[in-house]
Amino acid sequence: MHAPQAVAEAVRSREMVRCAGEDGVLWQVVPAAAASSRITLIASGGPYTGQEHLLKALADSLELGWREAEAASDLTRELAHAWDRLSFFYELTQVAGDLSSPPDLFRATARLLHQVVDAEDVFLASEREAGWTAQTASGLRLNLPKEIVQPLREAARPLSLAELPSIEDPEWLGFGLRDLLVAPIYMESDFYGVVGLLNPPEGRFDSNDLQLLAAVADQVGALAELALSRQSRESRLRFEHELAIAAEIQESLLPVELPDLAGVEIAAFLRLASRVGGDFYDIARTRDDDIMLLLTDVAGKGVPAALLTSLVHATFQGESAHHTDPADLLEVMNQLLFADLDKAASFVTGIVGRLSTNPLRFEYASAGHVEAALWLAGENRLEFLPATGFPLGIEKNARFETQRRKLHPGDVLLLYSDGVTESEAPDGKVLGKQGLADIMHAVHPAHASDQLRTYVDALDVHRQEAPLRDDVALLLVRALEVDSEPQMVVPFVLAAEMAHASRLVDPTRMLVKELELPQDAGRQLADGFALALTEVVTNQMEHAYAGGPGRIQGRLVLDRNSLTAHLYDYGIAFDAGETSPKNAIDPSDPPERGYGMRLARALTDELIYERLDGGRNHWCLRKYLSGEHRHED
Amino acid sequence: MKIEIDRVDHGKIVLRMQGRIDADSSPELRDTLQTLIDDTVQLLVVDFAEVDFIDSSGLSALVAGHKSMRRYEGVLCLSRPHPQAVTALRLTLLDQILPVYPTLEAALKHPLPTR
Repeated sequence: MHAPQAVAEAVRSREMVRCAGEDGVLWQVVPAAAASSRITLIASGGPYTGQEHLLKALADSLELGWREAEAASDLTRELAHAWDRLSFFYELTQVAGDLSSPPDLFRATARLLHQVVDAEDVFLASEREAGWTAQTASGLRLNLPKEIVQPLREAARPLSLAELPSIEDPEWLGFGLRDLLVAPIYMESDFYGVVGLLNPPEGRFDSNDLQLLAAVADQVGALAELALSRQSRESRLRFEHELAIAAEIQESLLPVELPDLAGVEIAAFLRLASRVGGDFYDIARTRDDDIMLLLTDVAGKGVPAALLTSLVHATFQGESAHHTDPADLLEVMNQLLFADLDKAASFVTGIVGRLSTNPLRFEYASAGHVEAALWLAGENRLEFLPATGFPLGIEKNARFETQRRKLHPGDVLLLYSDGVTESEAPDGKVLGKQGLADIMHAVHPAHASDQLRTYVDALDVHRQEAPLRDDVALLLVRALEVDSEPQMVVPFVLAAEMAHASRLVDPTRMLVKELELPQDAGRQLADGFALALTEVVTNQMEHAYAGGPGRIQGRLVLDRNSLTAHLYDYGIAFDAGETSPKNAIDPSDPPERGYGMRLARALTDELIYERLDGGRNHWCLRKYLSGEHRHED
Repeated sequence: MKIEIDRVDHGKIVLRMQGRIDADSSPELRDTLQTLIDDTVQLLVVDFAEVDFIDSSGLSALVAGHKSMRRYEGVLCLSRPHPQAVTALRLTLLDQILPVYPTLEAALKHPLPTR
């Protein structure tokens, strides 16, 4: 055997081979292999003297030395790698803290990953309108073909090039693809993205790379979830902010102050179920110094309805100067708003009124709006004012009709939106027209703004814990009494629940303070009346409503002669015999109950109960003011 | 309404009441009295210094307490009522049944019954 064959044979067989050189010298060739499969040959030439043992021992020790050295350098490399990767994950978490969107996170991850992994390029892709695209760490734009995305979606684990079907597009990766590792990224358990390594420096990606990639995919998915929730929180905050501005704008459209008109009090109230809404009231003054009133309800709620209310406001303010007849004004507003309302598939109900003096009168036209309420003081009854035409936005050339009512002293006009009458109790029962009429009956003599507050209280009492479902708008006009006895009226509404039992104590004390009596006398009057009132209220809660839900409404009235309270409720009728023992109290065995009506009787000059039509109870408590009580004007 | 319980001495308890005693709060007074009263209590003073309003349901709770105390041969009395409470007690004649004192000290010196 010649030397070249001997060397080849030694490398192949890893055994000692002998051969003869050209000069006839005999050679012994011994291979020594290192872990990296490098093979070194040790040869000795000369006469065949049997030194092969020495040669073999040398090869063995050489081999051992090499393997140790290689192992040591492997370890160092592994450690360096592990450190790199650790710091990669650390940096990734750090960077992610400042990122507010998944795409930013993907770009940052690709850049960092490229620094720690042995690959020519790195990419993170997600699905966009144009398909699965990515920007690689080195700045390449990459479109992932379906041959990569689809198997990943199905396998739901990292895949190597060998596991993927061959990619049809010959142009894909113009620089040549030697190997590829891809892993799916999940966000909230949805397949959201792909992280991939392109071309190792040499050979193929190994299991370490696979492991790293799987870890990166997990980490990025978690961080992307975080970024997305942060992003949605930020956009929610921005939306909140914009909504707050919208609410401010909508509020600024309301009349800054209500106008003064001789002989009337005007009060208005608006409460929206959300930040902005479709209920609205508006006021304008005509050239004749009359007052134009508007109360509308744009169909729908929230921002869309709010946008339309500003249109309605602008139209009303612009046109009310030229059209002072309510029907005319509604017709013009309908024509101007029709196109926009039609486009928005919306409509507006509303009532337009003109208040004028000498004599005091109210002219109105109603575009499909809920019936306004008019308390006729002279007749002690309520009239509802029905609609006089279609809602705005239904028919372009809709006609309306103006109705006219004279307002007499003590009359009260209430314009409202359906959020009032349709206010629901937790059991689904609505306040209704009857509920509205009941409150009006109880509170009509009070100052306009006090009355209005009572309606709002009544809505809260009725609603109890139920959420506010609809906007509420109220506009109240009260015709003042002329030349009548001065009196102060405090209207109230109580829920028939014990927490409200002594709610009238403070209003009574406040009212009596107006008399400016000496402290003791005032105190005695207020305390006595408040106690009587509390006893009657408690009695109605316990017996008339028997602990069930209900409402007690009424008014306290202070005039020159007396302090009076009227209470109205809808519980069962009062049975005088049952609740008030009239016997003297036996000190040795005082009764534990039945002091209430005894107190109410003792503390009032008149205590009148009557059962009214429609199942209502009316209590009237009166205390006449004696000389010392009477306020000298 | 708030109730503070003060065991001043052997067999003597002061209930310091605060706020308004009405149909909403009186059940708590009634329950407190029933829980406290047993044969170890000789004198129970309900202090009204910080009660600005009491109604018949509050009076009823006091009567119930009075009866329980009497069953154990003890005494329930009131101290420092505001004029409102005085009026309520007078009109219901309960001032003839429940001893009323202008000061807490005086109430605590109410003669103890011999058992």
